[in-house]
Amino acid sequence: MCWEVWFFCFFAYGILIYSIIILNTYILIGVYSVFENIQHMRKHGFTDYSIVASSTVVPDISILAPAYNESATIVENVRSLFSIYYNNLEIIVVNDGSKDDSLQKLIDAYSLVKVPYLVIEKIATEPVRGVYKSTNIAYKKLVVVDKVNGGKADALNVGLNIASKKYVTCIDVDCILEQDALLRMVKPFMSTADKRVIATGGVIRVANSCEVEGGKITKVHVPKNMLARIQTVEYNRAFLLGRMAWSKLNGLLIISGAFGMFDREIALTVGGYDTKTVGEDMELVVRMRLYMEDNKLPYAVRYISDPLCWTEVPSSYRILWRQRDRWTRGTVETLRKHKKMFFNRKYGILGLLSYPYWFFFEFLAPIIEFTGWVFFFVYAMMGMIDWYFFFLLLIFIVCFGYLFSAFSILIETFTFRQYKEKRDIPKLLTAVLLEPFIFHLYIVGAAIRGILRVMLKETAGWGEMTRGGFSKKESRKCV
Amino acid sequence: MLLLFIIENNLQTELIIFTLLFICTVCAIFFISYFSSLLIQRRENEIQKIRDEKESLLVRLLFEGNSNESNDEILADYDEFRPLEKGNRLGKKKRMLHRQIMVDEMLEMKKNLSGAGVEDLYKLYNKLSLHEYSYQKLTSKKYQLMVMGIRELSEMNFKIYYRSIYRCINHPQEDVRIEAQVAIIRLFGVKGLRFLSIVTYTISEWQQMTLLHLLSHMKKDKPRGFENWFNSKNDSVIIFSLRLAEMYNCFELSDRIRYFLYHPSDALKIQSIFCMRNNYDENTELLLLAYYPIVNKPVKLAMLDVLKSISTGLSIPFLYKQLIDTELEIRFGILRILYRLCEGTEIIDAIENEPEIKDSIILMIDQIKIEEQIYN
Amino acid sequence: MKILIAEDEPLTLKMLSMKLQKDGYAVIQAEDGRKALEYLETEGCPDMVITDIMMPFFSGLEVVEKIRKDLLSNIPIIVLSAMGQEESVSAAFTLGVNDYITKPFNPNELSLRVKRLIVV
Repeated sequence: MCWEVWFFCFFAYGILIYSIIILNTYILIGVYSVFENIQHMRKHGFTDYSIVASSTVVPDISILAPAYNESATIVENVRSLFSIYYNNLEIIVVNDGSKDDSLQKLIDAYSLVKVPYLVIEKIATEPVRGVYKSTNIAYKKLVVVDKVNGGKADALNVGLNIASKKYVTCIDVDCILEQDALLRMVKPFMSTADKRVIATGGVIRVANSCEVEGGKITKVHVPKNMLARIQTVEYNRAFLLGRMAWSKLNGLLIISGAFGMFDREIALTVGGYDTKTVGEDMELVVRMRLYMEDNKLPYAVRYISDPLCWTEVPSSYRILWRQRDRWTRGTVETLRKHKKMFFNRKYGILGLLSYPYWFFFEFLAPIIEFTGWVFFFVYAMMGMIDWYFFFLLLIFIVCFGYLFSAFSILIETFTFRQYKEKRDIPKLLTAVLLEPFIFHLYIVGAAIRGILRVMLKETAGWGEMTRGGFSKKESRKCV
Repeated sequence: MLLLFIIENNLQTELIIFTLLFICTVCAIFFISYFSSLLIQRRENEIQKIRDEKESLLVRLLFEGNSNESNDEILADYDEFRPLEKGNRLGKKKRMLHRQIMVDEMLEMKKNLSGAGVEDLYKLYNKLSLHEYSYQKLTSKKYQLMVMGIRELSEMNFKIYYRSIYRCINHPQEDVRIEAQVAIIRLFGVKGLRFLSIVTYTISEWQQMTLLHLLSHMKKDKPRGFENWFNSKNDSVIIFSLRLAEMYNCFELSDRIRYFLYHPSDALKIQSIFCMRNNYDENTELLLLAYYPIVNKPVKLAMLDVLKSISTGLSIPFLYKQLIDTELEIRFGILRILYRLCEGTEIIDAIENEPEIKDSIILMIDQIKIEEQIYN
Repeated sequence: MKILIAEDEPLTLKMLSMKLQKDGYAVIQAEDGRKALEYLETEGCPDMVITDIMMPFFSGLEVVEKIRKDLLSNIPIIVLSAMGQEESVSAAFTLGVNDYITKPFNPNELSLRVKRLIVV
C-alpha cells in the first residue's frame, strides 16, 4: 500500500479517536456539572442574604474597575456601581490614560477633587498621575485613579496597590452587576472553614438586547443579533455544563476577567497581574493556585453559578475575531508560562486534570480541527475521500454538538430561567442550528491566528473594543 | 484495505444510528424545554397572584381590623385557613401551597416590623395553625425542608418544639446546623448562646456574622458562659466569644481577654486586640506597646487601629521611634494616631533627623488631613 | 395631607400605605427612586416624604438631595432604611432629613413621628 493511504488512514482514525475522546469528556463533565448545579441550587436556595446586606460586620470589599476610553458610558457605569447593595464598600475606578474625556466627565459628575495620596507600590506599575475623591458625602466610597496608560493588567495592579480592603472584585466597568452579586460572591470566602478561599468567579451572562435602566437589567431578552445569540448559547454551555464541575473538583483554572473576587493578600503576594500577557485573569488565578500548592496551604477556588454579571458580547465578526484571538493568546501564554504543572503529581488536580484538559481540549482542539480541514482539502483534491463516510461523520459531530447545546438549554430552563418569554426557546434553537455553520469555524480560525501570533512572538495588545452601548430601549435621567 | 472497508461499514451503520438518535433527542429536548418553560411560567404567574393576594390579606389582617372578630370575618373567605373538611374547595396540595406562601409573606413582613406588629404576626401564625406544616418540615429527612421548618418556627417565635431544634445544633449538614443555631438565638436571645459549650463543628465567619447581627437587635443582657467558652478546644468558639465580649462591653473580662495576646494564633491575638477597643483601662495602652515589637505585621496593624481610639499622650515617644519602620502601611497607621494627638507641624519637626522618610511622611500627613477634612 | 412613600419592597409599601391611610393621610406610592423623582417634578412637593435608601434607579439620598437642593423645599423627610450604620445616617442628616428610622421598625412609632413632623 502506498504511504499516502496509510497516512490518510492513520490521520482519519487519529482524528476520529480524538473526537470520541473529546466528546466523551464533554459528556462526563456535562453530567457532573448538572448534578453539581442542582445540588448547589438546593444548598444555596435558602441562604438569607438580606442579613448580610444590612449587617455592619460584613467583610470589606474593594471594587476595581479599570477604564479606557469609556467616555460615552462611564458616568452611568459608575452610577450603577453605587446601587450595589453592600456596606463596607470601596469603589476604585482606574482611568488607564484614556485619550478622551472620561476623567473629566467623572470629575464633573461626582464632584471630584484631586487629593494627596501616597500610593504604596506593592506591585510596580506605570506612574499614577493623581488620585481623586469626591467632596460629596453621598459618593464617599468612590476613588478615581488617573494613571499613565499601561494596559488592563497594569490598571488592575494599581487598583490592587491602592485598595485598602480585604477582598477585591475586579470587574469590567461596563459590566452590569445584580444587586446582590457581591453578597453571593463573598459568601464562599466566609463560609469555608477548613480551607482558605482565594478566589471566586461568577457567571457572565449576555446583555445584548436586554433592557437596562438605571444600571440594572430590567428585562432579559434573547439577543436579536445572531452572533450574540450564538454566544449566549455558547456561554450557557460553558458555564452550566463546564465550570460547575471544575469548581467542585477544585480544578477551576479560569475566573472570568469580567467579574471575579480575590483575596487581596494572596494576589499581592504572588505579584498581581502579569502585564506581559493578554490573558491576565486566567494567569493570575493559575499563579495564585500554584502559590498555595507550592506552600501546601489548603485552599479553594469557588464558582457561583447564579447569574450575577451581565456584559455586552461582540456582535460583529471583526470584534469577535479580535476577542477570540486575544482569549487564545491568553490561554497559550498562560499554559506556556506554567508548563511545569503538566502531569505533575505535585500539583494534584491542577496538574493531573485541569492543565492536561486545557492543553488537550482547549489548546489542541482548534489545531487538530484546523489540520483536519487542511488535510481534508488536500485529500479531496487527490480524490481519496469517501464522501458518504465523510458527510456521515460530519453530520454525526454536528448533531452531537446540537445535542449538547440543546441539553444546556434544557438545564437552563430548569435552573435559572433567565429567558422566560414564549419566543425565547425557538430563538435559541435557531442559534443552536446555525452555530456550526456561521460561528464555529470562524472562531477556530481566530484561535489558530492567536496561536500563531504567540508562537511567532508578535507583541500582544489589548485591542480596542468598540462599545455599542446597550439596548435602544435604555432610558435614563441624569439628575 | 479489506480490513478498513469492514471497519468503515460497521462504523457507518453505527454512525447512522447514533445520528438519528441524536436528532430525535435534540427535537425531544427542544420540545421539552419549550413546553416546560411555558408551564413553569404559568405556575410562576399563578404563584405571583397568590402572593399578591396574601400580601394584601396580611396587611388587612394586621392593620385594618385589629380585633379577632373582624379578622375572622376577613378570613372566612379563605378556604385554606379553615380546618380541613369535606366540602373544602381547595385540594390538599393547593392548600399547602397557599399556606406556605402565607408563611413566606409573614416571614418577609417580620423583616421590616418590630414592636407590637410582630406580636400580632405571632398570634396570627398560631391562629392559622401554620406551625403544623412547619413542624412536619422540621421532622422530615430532607435537610432542605428541615432548614425551612426550623426557620419558620423560630421566626414566628414558636417555642414548643425547641428541643427538636436544639438537637440539630451539631447536625452533620452545615446548613441545618447554622439554621438551628440561629433559631435558638431567635427564640431565646442571649440565653440561647449556651450551645457554644457543646458545638463541635467550626463556626464559620458567615455564621458568626449572622449570629452577631441577630444579637445586635436583641436586648443587651450579657451572655453567661464566657469562662467555658474561652477554654474551648474549638478555636472558632473562642473567636466568637471574643467578638461577643466586644459587643457586650464585658469589662470584667479584660484580664482574661488580655491573656489571648499571648496565644500562638494571630487570629486570636487580633480578635482580643479588637476587644480591647471598648474594654480598656489605663494599662491597656502600655500593654499593647510592650507587645508591639514582637508581633507580626497583621497584629501590629490591628494594634495601631485600636490605639487610634484609645491612645493618650503616653504612646507618642514610642510611636515616633516606630516611624522609621519601613513598612509604609504601618507608618500610615502610626501617623493616623499621631495626627490625633499632636499637630502636623510637631510631627514633622520630630522627624527632622530622618530625611529619608520625611517626604513620604509629609505626603501622608497631607493625605490624612484631607481625609479628615472632607468627611467631617 | 399628602405623603409620598418611596419604597421598593411591595409588602413594606403596602404596609406603610395602609397604616398611614388609616391615620387619615393621603398616600402616593413610588416603587423606586425614579418614580419618586418623576412625581416630584410633575406634581411638586407633597406635605411629607418617607423614603428608603436602597432603591432601584436612584437612591433615597438622591431623592432627598433633589428635594432640598433643586426644589429648595423644607418639607419634612423621614428616611426608613435597613442600613443603620453611622455613615448612612450621617449622610442622610447632612443632606437635611428630619428623621431616620431603621428597619425593622414599629409602625405605631412611625405613626407618631409622622404626626410630630407633619404638624409643622
